[in-house]
Amino acid sequence: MVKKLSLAVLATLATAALADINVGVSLSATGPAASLGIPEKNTIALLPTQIGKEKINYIVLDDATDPTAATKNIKKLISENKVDVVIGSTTTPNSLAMTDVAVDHETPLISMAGSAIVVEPLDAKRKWVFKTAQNDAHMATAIVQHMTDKNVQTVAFIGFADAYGEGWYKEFAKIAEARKLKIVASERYQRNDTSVTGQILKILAAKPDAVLVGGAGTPAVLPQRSLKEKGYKGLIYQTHGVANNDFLRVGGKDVEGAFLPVGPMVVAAQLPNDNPVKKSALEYVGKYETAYGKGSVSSFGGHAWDAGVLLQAAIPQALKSAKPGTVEFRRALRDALEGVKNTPAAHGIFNLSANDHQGYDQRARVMATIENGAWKLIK
Amino acid sequence: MDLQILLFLAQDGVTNGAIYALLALALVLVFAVTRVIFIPQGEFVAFGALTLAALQAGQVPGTVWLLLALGTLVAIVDGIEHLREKRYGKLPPLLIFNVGAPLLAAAGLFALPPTQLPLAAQVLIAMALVVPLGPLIYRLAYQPLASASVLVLLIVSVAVHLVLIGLGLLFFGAEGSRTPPFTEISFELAGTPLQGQTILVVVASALLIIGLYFFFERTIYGKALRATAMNRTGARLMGIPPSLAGKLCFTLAAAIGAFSGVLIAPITTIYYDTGFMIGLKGFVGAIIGGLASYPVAALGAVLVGLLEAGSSFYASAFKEVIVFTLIIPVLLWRSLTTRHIEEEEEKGDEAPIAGARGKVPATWRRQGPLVIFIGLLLIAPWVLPEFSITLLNYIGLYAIVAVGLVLLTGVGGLTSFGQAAFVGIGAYTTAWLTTAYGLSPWLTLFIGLALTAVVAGSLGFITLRMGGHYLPLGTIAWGISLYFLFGNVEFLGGHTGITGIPAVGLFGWSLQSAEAFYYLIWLLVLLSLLAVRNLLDSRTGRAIRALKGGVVMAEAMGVDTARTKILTFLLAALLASLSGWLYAHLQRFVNPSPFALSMGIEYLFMAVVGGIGHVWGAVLGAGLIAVLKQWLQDWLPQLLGQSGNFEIIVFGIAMVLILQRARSGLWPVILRYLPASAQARTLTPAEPLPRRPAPASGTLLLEASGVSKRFGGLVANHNMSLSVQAGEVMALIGPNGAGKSTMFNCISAVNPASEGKIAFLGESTAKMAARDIARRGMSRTFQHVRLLGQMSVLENVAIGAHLRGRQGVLAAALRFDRSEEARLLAEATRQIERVGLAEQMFEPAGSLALGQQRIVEIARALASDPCLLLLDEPAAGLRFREKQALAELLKKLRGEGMGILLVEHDMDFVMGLADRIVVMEFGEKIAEGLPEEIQQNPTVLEAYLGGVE
Repeated sequence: MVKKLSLAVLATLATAALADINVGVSLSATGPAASLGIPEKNTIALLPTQIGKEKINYIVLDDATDPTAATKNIKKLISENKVDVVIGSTTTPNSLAMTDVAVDHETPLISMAGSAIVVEPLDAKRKWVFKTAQNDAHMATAIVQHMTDKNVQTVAFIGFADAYGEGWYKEFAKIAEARKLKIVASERYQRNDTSVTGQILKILAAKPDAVLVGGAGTPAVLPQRSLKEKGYKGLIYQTHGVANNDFLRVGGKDVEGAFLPVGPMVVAAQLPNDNPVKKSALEYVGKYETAYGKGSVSSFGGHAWDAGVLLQAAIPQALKSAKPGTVEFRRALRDALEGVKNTPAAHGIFNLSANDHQGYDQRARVMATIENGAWKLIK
Repeated sequence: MDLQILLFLAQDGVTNGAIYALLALALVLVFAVTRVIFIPQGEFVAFGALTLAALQAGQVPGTVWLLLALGTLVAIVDGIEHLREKRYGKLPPLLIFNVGAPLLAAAGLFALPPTQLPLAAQVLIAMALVVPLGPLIYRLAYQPLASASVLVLLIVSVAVHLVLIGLGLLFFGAEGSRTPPFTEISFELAGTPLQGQTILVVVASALLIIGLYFFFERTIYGKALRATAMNRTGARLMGIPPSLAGKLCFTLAAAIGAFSGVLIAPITTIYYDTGFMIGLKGFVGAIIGGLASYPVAALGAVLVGLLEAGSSFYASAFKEVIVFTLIIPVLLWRSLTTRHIEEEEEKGDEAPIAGARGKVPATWRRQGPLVIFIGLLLIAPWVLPEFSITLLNYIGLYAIVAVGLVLLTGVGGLTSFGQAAFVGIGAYTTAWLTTAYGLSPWLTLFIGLALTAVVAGSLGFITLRMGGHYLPLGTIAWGISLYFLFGNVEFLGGHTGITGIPAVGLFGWSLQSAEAFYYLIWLLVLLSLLAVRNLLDSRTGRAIRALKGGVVMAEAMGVDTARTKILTFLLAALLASLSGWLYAHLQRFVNPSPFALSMGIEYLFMAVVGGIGHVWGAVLGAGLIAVLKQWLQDWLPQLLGQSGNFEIIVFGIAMVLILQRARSGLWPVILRYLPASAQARTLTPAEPLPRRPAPASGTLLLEASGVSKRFGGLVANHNMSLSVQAGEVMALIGPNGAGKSTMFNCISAVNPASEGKIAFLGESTAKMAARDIARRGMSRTFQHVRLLGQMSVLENVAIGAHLRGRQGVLAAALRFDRSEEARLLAEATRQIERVGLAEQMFEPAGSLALGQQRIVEIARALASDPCLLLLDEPAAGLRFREKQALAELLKKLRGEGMGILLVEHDMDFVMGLADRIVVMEFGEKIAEGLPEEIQQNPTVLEAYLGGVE
C-alpha cells in the first residue's frame, strides 16, 4: 500500500513538474445534492484545457454531499495533486468545511454554493474564497420585489430541511421583513419525503397570498402539486434551484404558473439581443446541450462554467507574475481573481473586488415563470 | 383544528401507513425465514417505480442490465457447482432462466419500446424486471452466509443497500420521477376531496395483505415458508431446503417492494434514494409488531404513518425527531410486554477458534507486534506523503468509535446504530463552546464527555431495557432524533453548521497541521485501545463478556447485568464523544451530516468488517474502509473512464465478498499469522482469596416449603418442599418434565416462585435477585451449559469469582487491579485443577466435550466459594471414569461441609452419592427419604416404570 501510495505521489509529482496548471474540483456528484453536483461535474468536462499557453489539468473528486469527504478531498488535491486552485463544493456546508484548508495552504477556493456566508463577511479567511453562484439574498430580493409588485401581503414558506432550505428561509425572511411582507407559516420537509400534506394543510390554514417553495430540482414539485391538489389559488414561487428540465418533466401541468428568479442562462434565448449576458450565456447552453442533449442544461452547471470563466480571466494575469505550482502563483491568482472586472459569464457579469467575492449585480437574475412546460422570461 | 384537516391528515397517514405496512410485512417475512434484516427492502420500491417510469419514458431501464449481470453471475456460481457434482442435466435450465430470459427481455425492450402498451402491461413488465432481482440477490449475497449471525447478515444488508443505491443513481439519475395515476377519479367525503389513486393504494395494500394471508394458510409454498419461519431445523428435517425458502421469501419481498413502488409513484415523486426512509419506517412498524406477527406489524406501520402525518402538521421541522422519539416509548412498551427467547435463537454459528496449545510466548514476542505498530506510527509522518497522514487521522477518529463498538456490540452483544450521534455530541459541544464562548478545547473535551455521559446515561437507561431487536431499533430512533435536533437548533448553526473552530493548542504549540494533530489522535487511539484491552482482561471485562452468554448466567454469578450494560454503553458513548471532539478540531467545521444514521451504520460496518470481537479489529476495519474508499476514488475513474459514482457500488460488493470469506471479520484472519496465541498466559502466584466461614456440618442451609410455580395457567411446581443441610448431598430426581429445573430456578431466583417460602441460611429469598442469593453463598450450574465458547476455560471459571473482587472499570483500564486480578485467576486455577481440567485451562471453553463443559460449570460455581451448590445434571455426557472422578470431588466437597443439591438422571450416580433424595412427578413431591428407602418406594417405582404391569 505504502509503495503504491508513493508511486502515485511520484506520478503526480512528475506531471506537476511540467508546470501545467492543476485545478482541483470537489463536488457533490452523489448523495443528497447529486442533482446539483452532476450537471456541475458534466460542465467541468467542457471547460477549456488550455488557457494562454498553459495546459490545464482538472482533477475531479466526488464528496458525496459530506463535509468530511469534502475536507478530505481538498487536502488530497492540495497535498497530492499540488493544485493551484480548487473549485468546490456544491453545497454551503461542504464549501465552509473546505475553507479552512484552503486558507491554511493559501489556495484560492471557488465555491458554487448558494449561501452568502461562504464569502461574507470578507474576513482574513474568506479572502481566499470566491463564489460563482448568485447569493441567495440576491435571488430572494428579486422574489420579494416581484411579490410586492403583485401586492402580496402575506406569504408562507416551505423548504428543504437542510442547508439549502435553511439558507433560503433566513435570507428570504430578512428581506421580506424589511419590505413589510408578513411570513405566516414556515414549514420544512425532507427532500425525498413521499408526502407533504401536513405542511400544506398548515400553510392553507394560514391563508397566505403567496407561497415560496425553498427546494432544488424535482423534490420542489411535491409541495406545489399538493398545494394545487388542495385547491390553493394564490401565487406560488420557486427558487432558482429548480431550474432544470427534470423539474418541468416531473412537475408537468402542476407547476404551470410558478414564478422564480433565475440566472439569465436559463432563458438565454429569450433575452433581448442587447442583454450583455445573452452571448456568454448562450455559449454555455450551446456547449452543454451539444454534449449532453437538447434541454439537458441546468442552472447549477452554469455555476461550474462560471468558475471556469473566472479562471480564464484571472490565470493569464497571475501567470505574468509567477509560475504555476508555487505559492506565489496561488497568491497572484487570488489577487487576479479579486481583480476580475466586466467579465460576462453564463449567469451574469463578474465584477469582483476586495469587498465582493461574488461579483454579480442585478444583471445576474431575471424573473421567469413556467408556461406551457417551458421557462418563460418575464419582461 | 377542524374536522377537515383531521380527515386530510388521517387520509395521508393511512395512505403512507399502508405502504409502510406492506414493507413491514415483507421485512417480517424475510426476517422470520432467513434472519436477515432486509435494509434494501426500500430500494425495491424505488427500483419498481423508477423502472416503470423509465419504460413509460421510452428508455431501456438499467434494471435490465442488472438482471442480466446478476443472472449471469448466478449461472456461473451454480454452474460451477453443477459441473463439480456432474449434474449436467441441470445446466440448460439454469442458463435459460438466468441468462436467456434477461437477454430476451433486453432484446424485447430494444425492439419494441413499451411506451404504447396499456399501463397494466407496463406495470407487469416493470415487475418482471425487478422481482427476479430479489432471489438473485439472495443467491449471491445471502445464501453463502445463511448460517451467519444476525449482525453479519445485517451488515451484508447494509452493503447490498449501498450497492443498490449506487446502481439506482447510475440507472435513474439524481432527479425523481412520477408515473401517471391508475385512475383519475376523485370523490368527496365529508367535504374533503379524496383522490382515487389514494384509495387504490389503501385498497390494494389491504388486498395484498389478505392475499398474503391466504398464501401462507392455503398454499404449499406458503406453508413451507411458515414452517421455516417457525423452526428452521424442523423445516430442514421436513425436506424444505433453507435456500429454497430464502429465495422464495426474497421473491415475495421484492414483489411487495416493487408493487408498493408502482402504487405510490403516481401520488408522490420517487428518487433513487427514496427507499431507505420508507423502508426504515416500515421496519419500525415491523418491530412494533415484534418481527413476528403480521397483523400487529401492519397496525404498527399505519401508526407510524399517522404519527408522521400529525407531526408534519404540527412541527414539520421536527417531524423526524417527533416520529422517532415517540417510537421509543412504544418500543419500550413492546419490549417489556414481549417475552424474548433468550440467546439460542439469536446466535448464528461463529467461527470456531482452534485450541491454543503450547507455551506462553516470551514477552517480546507477545508485545512485539504492538511495539512494531507503534514504531511504524511514530515514523509515518517522515516517510508517508502528507495525504496519507490526513487519511491516518481520519482512520484514527473512526477507530476510536469502532473500539467502543467492539466493546458494546462485539463483546457485550448490544448492537448500536447510534454511535454517530454521540460523536456529534462531543463535536458540537466543543464547536459551540469554543466558538461562542472562547473556552479552551481541553476544557470543552471534559464538558463534552460529561454531557455525553448524561445523555448516554439517560438513553441507555431507557433503551437498554429493551431486549432483542428492540434495542438496535431504539438506537436508530434516538440516532435519527439527535441528528435532526442538531440541524434544527439555531445556536448550533442549524443544517449549515459552525465554522471557525480553533485548533487544539498544547503548551502554546498549535496542533493545526495534519502532522501535529496526527500524534494527538493516535496517542488517544492507542490509549483507548489499551484501556479497552485492559478492561476486557479484568473482572469487569469478564462481566461485560458474560452479557453475551445471557443475562441468566451472568446474574447467577453475581453480575449486576443492568449496571454492566449501562457501563458498557457509557464507555462506548464516551469513546465516540472523544472522537467527536477530535473531529471538530481536525475539521474545524461541524454540521449535522457526519453524525447522521448512515455514519452510525458505517461505524458498525467498520467494526464488523475488521472483526468485532477484537479491539484491533476496530483499527483494522476503520483503516481498511478508509483506504479502500480512497483507493477506489483514485483508481476506479482510471479503470472505467472519467464517469465516477462506481465507488459506492464496488465498495459494497467488496464488503459482501469480505464477509463471505471471513464472517468474523478480517482480524481473526490476520491473527492466524501472528506469533502469540491470545489465550495462553503466565499466571503469577498470588495469595488466596479470603473465604467465607463455612457453616458447621448439619446446619440447615436451604429450606423450601409449599413452593408453587405457575406459568400462566400451567402449574409447573405445586406445593414442593425440600431442605438441604451443610455437609450433605441432596438429590432431586424424577422423570423428564417433572419440574426439577423449575424448582432449581425458583431456588436460585432465576424465576421466582409464585407461592411458598424459600429460605437460604434462614433468610427469605422472596425479595432477592439471583445475584443477591449468589452473594450469600449459593452457586449453580445449568442444565443447558452456559459457557462463553470463545473464552478460555480459565476466564470462564474466573467469572464465578466475580463477587470476590471489587475493582472497577478505571482500575482495570489503568491496570491498578493487577494484584486482585492475580488472586482471582489463582482462585480460578485452583478450582480448575480441583475438577481435573488443568490441561484444558487455556483452551476455548467451546472446544471442550459437552461433559467437560459441565465440569467447567462446576469449577465456575466453586470459584464463588459457595456453601450451597446447585448442580443441574452434572454427570450427563460424562464417561464412566469421569463420573467416578466427579463423584469423588462431590464427596470431598461434602466432607468440607458444603451442601449440594443435585438434579440427576443417572441413578447409579445418585444412589452412590446422595444422602437424601426427593422424588418429583408432575410438579409435586411424591417421595422423600434415604436412597435405599426410595429404591423400595412403590410410588417411585410406579412413576418411573409407569404402566408396566
